[in-house]
Amino acid sequence: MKLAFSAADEAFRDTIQQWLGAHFVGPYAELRYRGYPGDEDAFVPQRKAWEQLLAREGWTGLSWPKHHGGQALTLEQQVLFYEEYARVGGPGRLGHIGEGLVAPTLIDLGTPYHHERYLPSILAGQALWCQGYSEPNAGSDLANIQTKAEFDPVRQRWRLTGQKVWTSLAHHSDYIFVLARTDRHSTRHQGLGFFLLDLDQPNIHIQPIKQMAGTAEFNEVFLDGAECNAADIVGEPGQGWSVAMALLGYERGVSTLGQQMQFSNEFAQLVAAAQASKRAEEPVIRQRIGRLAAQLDIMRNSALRMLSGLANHAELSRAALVFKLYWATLHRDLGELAVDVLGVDGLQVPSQDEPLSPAQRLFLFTRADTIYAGTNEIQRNIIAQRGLGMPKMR
Amino acid sequence: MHFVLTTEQQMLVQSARDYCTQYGASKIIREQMSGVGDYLRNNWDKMCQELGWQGILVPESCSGLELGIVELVLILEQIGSCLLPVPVMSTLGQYGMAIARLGDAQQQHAWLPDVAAGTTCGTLVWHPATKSEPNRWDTAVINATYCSTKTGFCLNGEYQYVLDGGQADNVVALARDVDSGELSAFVISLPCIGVDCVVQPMLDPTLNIYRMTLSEVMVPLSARLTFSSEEGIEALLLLSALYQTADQLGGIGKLLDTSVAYAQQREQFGRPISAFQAIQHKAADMLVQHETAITAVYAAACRADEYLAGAISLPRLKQAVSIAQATASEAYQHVASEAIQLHGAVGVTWEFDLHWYFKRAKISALLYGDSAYHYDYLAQTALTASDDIEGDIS
Repeated sequence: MKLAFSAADEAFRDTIQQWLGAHFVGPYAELRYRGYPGDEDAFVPQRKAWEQLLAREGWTGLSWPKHHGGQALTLEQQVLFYEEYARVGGPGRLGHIGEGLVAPTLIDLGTPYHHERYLPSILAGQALWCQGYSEPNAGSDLANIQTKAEFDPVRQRWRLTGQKVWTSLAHHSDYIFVLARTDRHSTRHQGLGFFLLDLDQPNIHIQPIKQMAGTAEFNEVFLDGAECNAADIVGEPGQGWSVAMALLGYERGVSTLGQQMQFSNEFAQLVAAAQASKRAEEPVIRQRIGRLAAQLDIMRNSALRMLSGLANHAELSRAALVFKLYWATLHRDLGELAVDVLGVDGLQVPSQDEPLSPAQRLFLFTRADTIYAGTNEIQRNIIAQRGLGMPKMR
Repeated sequence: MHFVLTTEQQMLVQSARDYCTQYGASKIIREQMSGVGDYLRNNWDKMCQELGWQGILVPESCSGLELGIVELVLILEQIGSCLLPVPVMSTLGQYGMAIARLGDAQQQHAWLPDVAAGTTCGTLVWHPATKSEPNRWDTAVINATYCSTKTGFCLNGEYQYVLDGGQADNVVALARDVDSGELSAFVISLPCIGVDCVVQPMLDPTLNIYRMTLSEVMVPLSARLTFSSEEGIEALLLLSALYQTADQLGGIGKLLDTSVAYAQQREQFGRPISAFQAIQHKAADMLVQHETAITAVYAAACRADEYLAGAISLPRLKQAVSIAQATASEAYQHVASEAIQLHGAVGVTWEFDLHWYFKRAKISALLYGDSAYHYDYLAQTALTASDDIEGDIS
């Protein structure tokens, strides 16, 4: 058991640092710390350009195999990249869902058609993807999906009708993957299909959902007979649930690490603010700072433990089962403390139209962290049932 | 980086688990309650004969196995899981480690082979009977003294919380030069004129703790460990705190297993109580606490090995130990109280074992500093580092 990285990995860390030092400058410097949740609309064209630069220089597709154009980096090397990227305050990644979730799913479960059609534009940082899972009546109870997919045998096209909701960054995306019912008589996990849709078509309407921070990362996506090719289904009709779950498995991999590593920057700024406001002299505030310092270290090391374990075991380790609940709750606490260290002055806004301060955004947006991607309550159900073998509830 | 147990470490854990299951069963522990100390040497002798762990930290040059802190922590975790009274922490972690770190070659050869042979038990004598700052747990509070004599040194001091002191053949005692305040470590062979050792009963009778008084104790020049230093001794105290977190981790795991097993078999309203969501969520939170403590304790163990290899600084080790101590202490207390609650009325009886763990959880949460003490240290570390933070959240 070793927590330290090898000398060879540390040398790779130097390479990453040198590259970032040389390239995260000039026009890109203003992107520092930008584009994270609650700030999702900041500098979108510039962030796209930045991702394309990363792509040209070989910093996308880090985990993908070589024959799909990836870098086939080791787990350690991937971790180091995300850690160093976060350390310099690299901007929120627009292409994360495509690169980290869609691509691994297509590589594992897709056909050569999928690979040729979709992987190159993801790798190049050109095509952005979003996720069409949740529906108005399928939130925590995801298997209650109602969106219908019908195959038109004449035109050899799938037609999808229904409504998706809470779709992150749909308004900046080019494609959406959709879980829809291919068998109209089916219920629950059976009879679903997993589809790949181009968002640029007249039968799809995207409606932003304004959130409590005033911005809209989430959207409603209306599918009114939206179409895709016969081949734009991953797996067979009826196998959609297992494809969807495989995709969620990648969410526990290394790809979301970047976002969590970024919490350390938020924490460091919070601590500096507490120092400046003199609230850091108060014992209760100091306790909360100390606790978060411990939790951030544990979150990072738990990720390393989870990832080290993934390489060894096919089954999800307990460390992996608790990770979402842990970081989401931690981040919510971070958001609370960010405004508390500033005092009431930190809650002033220049005017009702102007963007909120980073602390205000953090405070408000982190309320969503403990809800999306499985609420804290659903996480506890999963932990008890899958981690501890307790009975399923009906 | 490979932050999970190696195959060899898994085998070590398995043999430790088997041993502790055999000798640490609650019935045996209960027989020993009349005086844990009487059984200590028995357990030690059996352990040395059957498992040979006594050489685990001793250098190969002194007939030891020269394994790491990680291995010791894994053994202590299993010992903690059944509250087995055996002087591993004191003899190997404290006494043996002090000589290995602070002794010169001659001193190592004089004392360590007897540790590796299983013939010597020892401990560390450091905690003052009275402290100017009650909740301070570093070398600054050490107030025993020594002065030079013609043939060696004369020691005076009153100590408490001496682990397994009543069964020790030798001790390493810490004291300050009466004039210069320089901190040194001395090996004292017992019995010895001027050394008085009395048992200190605690709320948790499975802990084997003593008070020790040194009155004009004369030791030869060779008794002063040659490489004694403030930093070297501070490291010994940090390691002691780390050992305790390993013991806590074992208790947490045992309570989780016991509580889940009970909830699965206890029936009310015609079904096992584990079918109720209120119970499942409690159990899930206990598992989260356990996983969090595993990460924190194992990370600190890895950092300790890195420190001993000269790869990281003492403050970095101290940070990791503080995180482990605060986290494992809170986790143990949480899990112990929830374990009682999950067991219902039988949980508060003397007959069930839970109260031993509940008591151990509280004592170990206060010994070596409560979580508030460690969070404050972590906050101070974060605040000190915040001077050169860029980015403003306000």
